[in-house]
Amino acid sequence: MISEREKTKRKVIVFAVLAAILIVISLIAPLIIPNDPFETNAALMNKGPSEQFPLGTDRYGRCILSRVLMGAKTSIFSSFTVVAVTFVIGLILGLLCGYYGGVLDGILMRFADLMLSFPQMVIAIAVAGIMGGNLVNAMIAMGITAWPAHARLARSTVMKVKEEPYIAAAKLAGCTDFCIMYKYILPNVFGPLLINATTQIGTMMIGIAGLSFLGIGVIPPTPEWGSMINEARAYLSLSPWAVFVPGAAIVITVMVFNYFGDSLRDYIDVNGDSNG
Amino acid sequence: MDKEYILSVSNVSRTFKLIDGEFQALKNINLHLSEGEMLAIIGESGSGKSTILKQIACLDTPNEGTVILKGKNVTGKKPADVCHSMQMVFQDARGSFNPRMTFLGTIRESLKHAGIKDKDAQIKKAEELVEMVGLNKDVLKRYPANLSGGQCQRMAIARALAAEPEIILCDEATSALDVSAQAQIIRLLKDLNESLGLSVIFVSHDIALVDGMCDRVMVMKSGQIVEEGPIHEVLSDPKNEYTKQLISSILSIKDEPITFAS
Ligand SMILES: Nc1ncnc2c1ncn2[C@@H]1O[C@H](COP(=O)(O)OP(=O)(O)OP(=O)(O)O)[C@@H](O)[C@H]1O
Ligand SMILES: [Mg+2]
Repeated sequence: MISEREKTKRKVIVFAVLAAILIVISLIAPLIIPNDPFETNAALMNKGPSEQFPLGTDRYGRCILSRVLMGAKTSIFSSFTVVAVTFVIGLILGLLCGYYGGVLDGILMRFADLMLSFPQMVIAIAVAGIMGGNLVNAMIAMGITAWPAHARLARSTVMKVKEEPYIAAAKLAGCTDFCIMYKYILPNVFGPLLINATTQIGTMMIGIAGLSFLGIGVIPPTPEWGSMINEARAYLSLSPWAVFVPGAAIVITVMVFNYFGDSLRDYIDVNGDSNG
Repeated sequence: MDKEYILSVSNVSRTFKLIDGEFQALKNINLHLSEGEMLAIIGESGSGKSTILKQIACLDTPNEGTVILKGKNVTGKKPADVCHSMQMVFQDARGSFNPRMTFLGTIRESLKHAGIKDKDAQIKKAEELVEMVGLNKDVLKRYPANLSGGQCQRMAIARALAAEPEIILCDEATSALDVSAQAQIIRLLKDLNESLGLSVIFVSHDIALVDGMCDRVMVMKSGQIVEEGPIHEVLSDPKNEYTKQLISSILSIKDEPITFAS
């Protein structure tokens, strides 16, 4: 019999390995692609899998496998970057608001609530639409809608930790506000918040791919999964692989990162229970 | 003013706002502590003992009244403004240590703000302090989760002493200790009181514990001080009905006269 804790631990390890494999693939993509992902070939348009093109070609005769592998880098790194940046911004804002409270907290949190009350994609589409489509703008658009969730959670976690006796003790030891936030609050809130942030990577990937699908993200011919689906969707009956392959890439990658984040959270929760 | 007190609390009231109305935890508290005095505050759970200490240590601000420390009004000031004169041993000793910091880290923090900037000097002083409270200096490397409740209480006293305060507020500082360890800690506080002139407010729900240790006792009930006076007077001849109950409840447990600590 393996314990619940051991089970969640194994899950974490499995998904961590899978996520690591995906990251490694995206990093070494330029080295392992079988063909030039940009090379068009009028004679080989919409062809099925072959020895030269293991997953077929798209409507310009480009190698789909090569494009999907190169697209992994765009998808994974753009979503990692946005999650990391919004996490840090949300963490700092949440820390300040949760610790000091007051007027700044009131204004910032009402603003965050406002952002959260809109459907995330609607704002992102509007922002990306206004700024014009390219990857950086799509990332900014997603970032603008992503920080409030991080800030809100950081704030509520900080407000809980702020009431701990060790914060009162630190104040009475003569620590400054900065020292208390940095040495006493941050280390005690960072882990759970970071884990929550990892659960956002999958959603972010779908968001960026979604914007690219709508034509307001990555500009073709840069390989990106969302825009690949968009380009190929008119030829769905002719070359379904051109839609399914990037689609499957999105599903698998999002699933791996979501399960990784969730299992990590479960593992910490289970552990927290056994300690408390 | 006829006498100079090191600490004076005048007409302090504290009302907490709750979701369904208000709750007055302290009602018009007056308390005076002379230099080198050991004052006991006793009272049942929820009577406001911890709350009054928080007002004194500037960890909370009273709605009314003033706290005067060494002639200076410190009402509404920050804990950092009073920490050089006053330290507190928190009721939840383990919880008063950052779970992500070693005890050495925590005590060095206090020493740093007390003016010892050199790292080696801080470590040496920290080792002296823990040995003074009867702990092995090896425990300094540990985290709060790895010490027993009683060890955490000793560590909390060591941390309080690190700031070289003139007043120590002890909130149930010996509740997690067995009887002999309690006696040791009380001995230690009494020694510090005699050698350094340390003033102590010792909060407890245990009236027997404070006998023989403190000079004066205040009895709290529902946020008010219902009786105060020299400890032997209060114990032998309680005026207040509630104090009588408190004392008789101890006497019925222990059939012998109350001689406990020291
Ligand atoms: N922050 C707060 N908000 C609302 N009520 C509070 C707050 N702090 C304390 N109280 C209330 O004030 C009263 C006194 O609390 P306090 O902690 O001072 O009691 P105590 O005498 O120290 O009790 P114990 O012996 O259990 O430690 C309690 O009824 C408590 O519920
Ligand atoms: Mg208390």
